Amino acid sequence: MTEPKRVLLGILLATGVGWLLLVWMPLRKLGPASAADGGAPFGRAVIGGKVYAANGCASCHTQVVRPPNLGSDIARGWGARRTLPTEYREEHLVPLGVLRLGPDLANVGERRTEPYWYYRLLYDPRTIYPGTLMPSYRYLFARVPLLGTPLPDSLSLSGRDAPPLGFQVVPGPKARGLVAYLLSLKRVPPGETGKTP
Amino acid sequence: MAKTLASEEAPEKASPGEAGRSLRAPFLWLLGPAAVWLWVATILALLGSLKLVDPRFLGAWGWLTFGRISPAAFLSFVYGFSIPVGLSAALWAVTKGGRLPLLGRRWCLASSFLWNVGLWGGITGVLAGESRSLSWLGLPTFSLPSLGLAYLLSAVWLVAALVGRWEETSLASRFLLLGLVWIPWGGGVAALMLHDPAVRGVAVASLEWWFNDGLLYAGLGAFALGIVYLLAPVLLGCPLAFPRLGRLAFWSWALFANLAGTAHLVGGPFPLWMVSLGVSSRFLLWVAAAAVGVGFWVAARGGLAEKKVWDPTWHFLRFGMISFLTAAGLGALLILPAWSRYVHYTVLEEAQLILFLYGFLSMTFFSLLYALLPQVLGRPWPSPTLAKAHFRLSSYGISFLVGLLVVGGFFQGVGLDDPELPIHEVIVSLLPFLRSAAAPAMALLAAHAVFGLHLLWLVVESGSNRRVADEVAVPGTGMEGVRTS
Amino acid sequence: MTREDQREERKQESAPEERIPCPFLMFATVIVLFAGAFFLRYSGGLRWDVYDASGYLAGLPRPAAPLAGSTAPGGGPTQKPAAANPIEVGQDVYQANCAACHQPSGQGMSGQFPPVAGSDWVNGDPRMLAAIVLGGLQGPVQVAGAEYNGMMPAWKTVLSDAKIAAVLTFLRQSWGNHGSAVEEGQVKAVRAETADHGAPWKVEEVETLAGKGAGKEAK
Ligand code: HEC
Ligand code: HEC
Repeated sequence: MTEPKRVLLGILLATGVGWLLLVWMPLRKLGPASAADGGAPFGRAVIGGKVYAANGCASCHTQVVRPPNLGSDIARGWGARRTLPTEYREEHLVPLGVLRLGPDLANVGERRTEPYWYYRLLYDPRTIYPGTLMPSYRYLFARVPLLGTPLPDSLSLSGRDAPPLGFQVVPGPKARGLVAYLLSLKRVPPGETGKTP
Repeated sequence: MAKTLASEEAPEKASPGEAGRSLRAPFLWLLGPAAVWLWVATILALLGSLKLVDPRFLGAWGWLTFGRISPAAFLSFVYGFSIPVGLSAALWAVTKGGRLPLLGRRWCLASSFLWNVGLWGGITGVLAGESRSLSWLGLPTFSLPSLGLAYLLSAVWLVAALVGRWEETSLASRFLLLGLVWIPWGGGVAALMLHDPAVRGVAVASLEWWFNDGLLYAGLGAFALGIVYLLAPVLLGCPLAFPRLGRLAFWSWALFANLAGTAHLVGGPFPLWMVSLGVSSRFLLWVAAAAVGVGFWVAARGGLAEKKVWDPTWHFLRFGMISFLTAAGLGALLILPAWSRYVHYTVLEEAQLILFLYGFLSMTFFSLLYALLPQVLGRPWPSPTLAKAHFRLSSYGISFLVGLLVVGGFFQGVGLDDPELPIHEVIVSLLPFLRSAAAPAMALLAAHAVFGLHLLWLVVESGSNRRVADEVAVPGTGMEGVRTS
Repeated sequence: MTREDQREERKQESAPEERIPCPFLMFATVIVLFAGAFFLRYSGGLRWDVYDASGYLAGLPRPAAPLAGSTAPGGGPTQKPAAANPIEVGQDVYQANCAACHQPSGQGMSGQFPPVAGSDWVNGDPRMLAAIVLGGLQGPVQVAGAEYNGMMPAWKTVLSDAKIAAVLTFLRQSWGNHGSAVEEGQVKAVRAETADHGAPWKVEEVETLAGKGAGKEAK
């Protein structure tokens, strides 16, 4: 074999080693268990997961609770214990995240259980956290004519946020999916309690 | 004015001959759009940092929400600017500085066309909310076939030509080959696996990080290192010192760049050995980087003493090497679990990334462009002042940006570690740094604007004088593509 | 740097003929040794079920106790930081090392991993339990009325006596289990006694231990 071919082969192999150790083996060992085991998640939360990814929530939020020797995550009440592979076993979306400009969301569904709270947060985070960095996601909401009484999940808004007379603001399908996803984030399994802040 | 750059050098006829002229179009097709993408990336990055100054800036418009523009900025930098420049370095190397004919000329044009079409679609898709994740595979599905095809169209024959015209001792061609081969290997596998419904669980995250770090170090980093080895003989008059050590560094680089990804996952849901493997690999990458660095400085000490003219190629290259060594060191030291709790998930890690992307990759790439374009176009750069302005603006911009993020990240890390301190206050302590980072981001934008104008000027000027271009003297053309180490 | 190297450099006239600078060689040696040692020390036996390590380089828990003491309103004598609660330590160890199989809730996974909640092995003789966890377990085993036939790897190379004692105490006192606490000394004794046992235990082998232990105690 000539030298360039050797180099080429070497490069292919080196890359293959990385792939084998970091991708293939974890997939076998930590990946989905068996077909009988419930399979991939489905339903509204999956749509919401896509909204979460596409809108880059992960550029400010993580979804991983570190053990007590590697961070204060548990002391902050973000989870009762460190995140384990079992919790992601069936999921396509593993948004561990890179940067924490906001709280960890691995167990946010445990801490905040009220859909309406999420809608308010997404529509205008500043009404909940004045002066926060979190941007508003009002483009996930729809403004619809107010016919008779407001719809059950229309947001009660005041001040500058208030819609024009005769209109109401309701969560669009993406906002609903996203909130379903956030509510499903309870990575503390039954039988253990997460500390609520 | 146009001749100042050349005035001190012994004028040499820079006609690359027939082969060289046929290269004009491929290089312009690669590099023209690359300059535009650089602009796009910088504008998006600047918008992102303005969004952090005040999240209400530009309103709550989905297309420009922070979570979309910040990945779009990185994606357009990597796919729009870095990869095409890397390809043009390989093109330069296989044609030996334009002296050998280019066989795949048509393919090359078709490839750049497809690539840019795919990428415009892709970035638009990210902004429209079609992205699947934050990873560097975040380009939407529909853009991937076109990008993949485009890459293969030019990479296949570049690899074939590189292998065919191999010179035994050349380190430049090794690194370029690594970059050329890694990107389709890693990118192809990662894209296929991410679209396979059977791929679930935390392996998705380790796949993502294997790809991210591989792309960064074994893909783009290898391109940039190839450029360093390619330019050194021209600039320093001699190749980098210690070729054997360089070869060792090459192999460690190729291997450990593939294993380093899990270093990002300290504290994550991965077995201990995976994380430790990543951490150790980062340290070994640091050693490999230092080995390249030592060859560079020893060669520079010998070869540079008598150079007096302000040479943009050299300045950009030196800045790139300094950033490279710093980023490699930070990359190793920051991920040590011992202080991970003060560092992980803070903007400190972002600072390291930016130092690598902007400080090392983009500066090295500029250095190549300053050396290469005058030879392809048969004209020197029209204005040394603009080149100098470009260098000043970007070096200050990068240094301040990184500095601010390092200090801010430190505050953020210490704050995050204190469970009694509400997140809001942690972020408030970080905000002054994030806000002032908009200023260096602005400087970078200005730098890239200066570069764009300068490039435009050069192209227009060379276009209007194309006939007489052959007669024009440009600085020494000792750039022997592949004979380097 | 070998002579061959220098010859090669001389061949290319322009290459500076210098030796590789000494500081670099020192730096490289130190870092390579460090990286190797780090990986050996924190490889967790290359196992898929070991997640955590402790030690300076693996990150130490935040020194919370003194801080809490200093912020406490004055008054009585400053409380001495309580010795780490074995249940809490045990919970951390469990979540990091055992939960991947026995599940965070201790319920196991039907057909694959036996439950540790409501298991007679867990609530029974601590010596037998310690032996199982130290040495691993293989072959058919009856747990909470169901039969399992799998293999649990040994933990003796991964966990210290103190950690094993803590996790056993945690197991025996959580999820409705009601065993006594396990002391570090007991684990140490079992470790010493079973040191020459290589492969994971079979149920029959473990059961002989219980008898021996009881016999000894009776003496
Ligand atoms: C620019 C960064 C940023 C982005 C992007 C962002 N957030 Fe936030 N988020 C924050 C910050 C900061 C807070 C904490 C508010 C505070 O205390 O100031 C927060 C808080 C939250 C909370 C409340 C958590 C708790 O524990 O109370 C939720 C839920 C949340 N964000 C969801 C989202 C979702 C969903 C998205 C994407 C659609 C998103 N965030 C995008 C910065 C961001
Ligand atoms: C790799 C998966 C795995 C891990 C991790 C694991 N076990 Fe097990 N464990 C098993 C299996 C499988 C069995 C049953 C072995 C057999 O069938 O013979 C078992 C059996 C047991 C038993 C006896 C049966 C019972 O359920 O009471 C105990 C006690 C036990 N394990 C404790 C632990 C402790 C403590 C840890 C953490 C230090 C741990 N295990 C970690 C797989 C595991």
